[in-house]
Amino acid sequence: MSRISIERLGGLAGLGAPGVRMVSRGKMELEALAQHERDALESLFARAKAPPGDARASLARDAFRYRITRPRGKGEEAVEVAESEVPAGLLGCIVDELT
Amino acid sequence: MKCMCSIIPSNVLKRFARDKKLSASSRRRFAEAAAHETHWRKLRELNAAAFARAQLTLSAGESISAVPAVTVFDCATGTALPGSPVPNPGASSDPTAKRTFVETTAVAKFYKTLFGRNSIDNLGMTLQSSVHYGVKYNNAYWNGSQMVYGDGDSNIFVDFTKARDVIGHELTHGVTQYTAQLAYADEPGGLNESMSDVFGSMFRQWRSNQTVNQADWLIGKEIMGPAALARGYTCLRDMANPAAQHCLAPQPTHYSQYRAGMDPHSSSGIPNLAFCRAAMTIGGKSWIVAGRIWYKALTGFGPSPNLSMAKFAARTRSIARATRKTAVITAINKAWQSVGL
Repeated sequence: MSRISIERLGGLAGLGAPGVRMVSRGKMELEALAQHERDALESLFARAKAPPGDARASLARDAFRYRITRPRGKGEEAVEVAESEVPAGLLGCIVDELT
Repeated sequence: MKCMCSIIPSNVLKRFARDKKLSASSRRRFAEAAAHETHWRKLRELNAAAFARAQLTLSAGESISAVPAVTVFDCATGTALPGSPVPNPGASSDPTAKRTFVETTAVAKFYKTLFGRNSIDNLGMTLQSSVHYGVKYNNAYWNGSQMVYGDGDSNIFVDFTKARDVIGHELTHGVTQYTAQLAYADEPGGLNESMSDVFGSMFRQWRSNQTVNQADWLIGKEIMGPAALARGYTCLRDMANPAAQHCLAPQPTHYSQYRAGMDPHSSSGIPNLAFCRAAMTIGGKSWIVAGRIWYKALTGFGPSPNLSMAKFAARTRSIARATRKTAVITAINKAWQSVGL
């Protein structure tokens, strides 16, 4: 079993910035995702290994972005992606909480 | 060009690329599309903005609209943009759609009346909004071409169209995109967010004809849900007191606290406080003097994607000096000095 964690960042409230009194995150087992969503996730991590594009190129403002983390060897690896790229099954595990 | 906002997931593109029922040339195109997805997404965003401009400049026999059209679309809790058009949104039975139409129309009037600006691009572009985006979606955003509003989860947040400053904030991201083109990282990112809070707050004050002393300077007061209010969080941000305990997202108050890589919604606290202090010192209504100085500093110098806070402050000081009013010059100067710039 492989546990994936996801954190929602940015947005109008600037989630993830130090001091923000709200967190938006979730965890689930990779095996609970449909096969095509596992494939999509794999593509995201594979793409992350390619040279990064210009993060300033997007014109979206106040949009959410998502940090997805998975185990890798003895540690873990993470990618940060736009909302449209997150598998729906993974988005569904996110819970918003005040801190 | 159609379907500017449709997105075909990469895994679907790859499945089509392997589908032998399709022609070889079609399969090759899907494979190429999947391979270039990252670049395609960036180009799509840039094309959307360029296409919107081209529609105005290339349409034969059409003149620039003196008053921008305001359109509202209903996503019906889905995430495909723009959604279904709401006919006659100003008279809609959906209070969210109606409110979005009314307030977006008012933002257009705010920019035209106070600053002589004809819509986001100053060429009368249509102001398009989508409402009821996603399920219990706790956000509103500008996607490069239009505004998008969620309904909130009714717990931490309520309907994001209920806050006039949020509507003004999102539209102002469009104004920034068409003028200074401030990047969305580091100092220009903080300035980008600050411009949206400044003009969003100013719009909210203008709608209620408030003086700077009557204004509460809170951002997002009207979208705070019962759970947030029960915890004492009365707003997203406070331009008069960025580090306040009642903020859901407290911010730095001085440039010495700035760090490269800060979320723009954090670093915006510094120029937000400068604007608030400048406007409060000048007195009266924020849009008369301070607002006009900030508008000129944002729009009067061409694209400045890497603008620093210090350079923006210098612009406002220069514009203030041109007024030849000692009180204004002093107010602007002291406001920036107080935040370390």
